Formats: sequence, structure tokens, C-alpha cells
Amino acid sequence: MRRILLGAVAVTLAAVVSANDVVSRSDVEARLDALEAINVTAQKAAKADNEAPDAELDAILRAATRAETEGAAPSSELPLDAQ
Amino acid sequence: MAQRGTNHVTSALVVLALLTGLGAASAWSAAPYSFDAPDQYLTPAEDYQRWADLAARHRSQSAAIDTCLDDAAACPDRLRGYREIVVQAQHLSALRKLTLVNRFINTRRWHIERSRHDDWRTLTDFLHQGGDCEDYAIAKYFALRQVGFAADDVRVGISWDFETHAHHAVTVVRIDDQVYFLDVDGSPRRNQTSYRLLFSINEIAIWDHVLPAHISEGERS
Repeated sequence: MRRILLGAVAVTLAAVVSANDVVSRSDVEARLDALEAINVTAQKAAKADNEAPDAELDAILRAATRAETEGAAPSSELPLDAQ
Repeated sequence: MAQRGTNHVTSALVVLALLTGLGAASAWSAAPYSFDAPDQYLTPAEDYQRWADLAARHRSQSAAIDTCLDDAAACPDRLRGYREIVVQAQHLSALRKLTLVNRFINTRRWHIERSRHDDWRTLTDFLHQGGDCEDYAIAKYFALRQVGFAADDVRVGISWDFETHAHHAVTVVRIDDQVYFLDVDGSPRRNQTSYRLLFSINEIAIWDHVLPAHISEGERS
């Protein structure tokens, strides 16, 4: 029972520390250090977004792929006044 | 009898400890993301060296992007597809621009850097080399800016991902007061149940979503 109690206390402390580990330092520099220390490493492979088929967007994406892979002149020659 | 009493006390302590832990975890994950949270403002973006370096590299590569957008014949191979997206996005609604950029960037090559220190890539470098999650988020940020989103409405979010149990980056976008999260693995989504945002960055500022309450207003520049 003592082991269970110690385990439960450990779980609680871990949860609280996890929730506050980056909160314990007190100034802006420390917060930037905390941000810098984060190594963004999520192993989450990219996946094409095919959840909502859209003929127009599909056509644009195909044209983009064609422009890249074939090195052909892009199909669109619209003026770029929105940049 | 005394033993039974001890067991009851111990059981109650175990339950209390577990509930406390669950409560802390729940509070940590429940807060919805807001673009209008001045109390979460930390500091100007240029104070964060990694972002400042990234923005400077992006600016140095912008001339080539602009030339490509102005003249298709002057477009290097790696920017031809991007040009197509930017040009064609002009007549789309904000939400469809968002979807188009998300879909285009998510088809890029996934490539995790081997170095222990993350290399944050510019849009141009990402289109050339691919990248991992923060590079996708950064590329979407700059692409959305290019197709007309205001800096006030787009951020790169550094988060804790509950699914992968690792830090993760997403792009956070506001359209008509609705917040969208752009991840590497699907459509723009409206909820953030799978991650907890820790910091947000754009070319204006850094926001700290777990900002300690004891950082005084005066300390924030």
C-alpha cells in the first residue's frame, strides 16, 4: 500500500511539474530561453489533405505539380497585383 | 480494525492524488486559443534570435520570389509550383486560400534534420529541401502572408502534441474571428484538442500561452 501511495504522489507531482515546468522562471529572457530550449521534433509525417475534395483546388494543385515536375511555363499568367 | 482504517485513509489519499493530477492536466489542456489575449504578449519578435535570423534569411530570398511571381520565365524550378499557387489564389476566398496553401505545403517532402538543434527553414529552403513540422508551419506562415493574410491573423504555434508526446509546430490562422490550426496531416481544423499551444510567433511579436502571472507588465517590452 505504501508503494501505491508513493506512486500516486509521484504521478501527481509529475502532472503538476509538467503543467508548470516552463512557468517557474520569472522574466522575459527566461521565457525566451524556454522557447529556445524547445526542440520541435514531433514524428508526425505529412499527409495530403484529401478530406474535402474540391475540383478547383485540385486543378490548381495539379497545375502546380505540373509546373514543378515538367519545368514547363506555368499555366497562369495573371497579373500579380495582390502581393 | 485499525488496519482497515489505515487502508481507508490510504485509499482516499490515492484517489485525491489522482484527482489532483487529472485536474492539473485538464486545466493545462483546456484553454482555447485566442488571438485577442494581450496578457499573453511576451515581447517583440526581433527579441527572439532564432526567429530574427529566419526572418532575415527570408527577406534576403524575397527578391527571388518576387521576381518569380512577376515573371514566370524567371522562375527557378523549385518556385514554379509555388508561383502557381500564389497566382491562382488571388481570386479565392480567405478560407479557400487557407485550404489551398495547407494542401500545397502538406505535399512537400518530409525531412527531419539530423542535428540536435532544430534548423528553422525559410519558405524558399523548405520548397527546395523539404523539412519537418516547424518548417511546414513556417512555410505556411509566409505563403499565407504572400496570398494576402495580415500578419495580425497568422502565427506559428509551438505546442505540446498529446498524440506524439513531443513538441510540435502548427500554423494558427484567424479568419473572421474563427481560429484554424494547420497541421501537417490533414485539413485546417477548428479545435485544438490534440495539442496545447505553448508559444506563438509571428513577424510582430511572441506570445507566451503559459506566461507566469508574476511577470510584470513593466518587464514585457
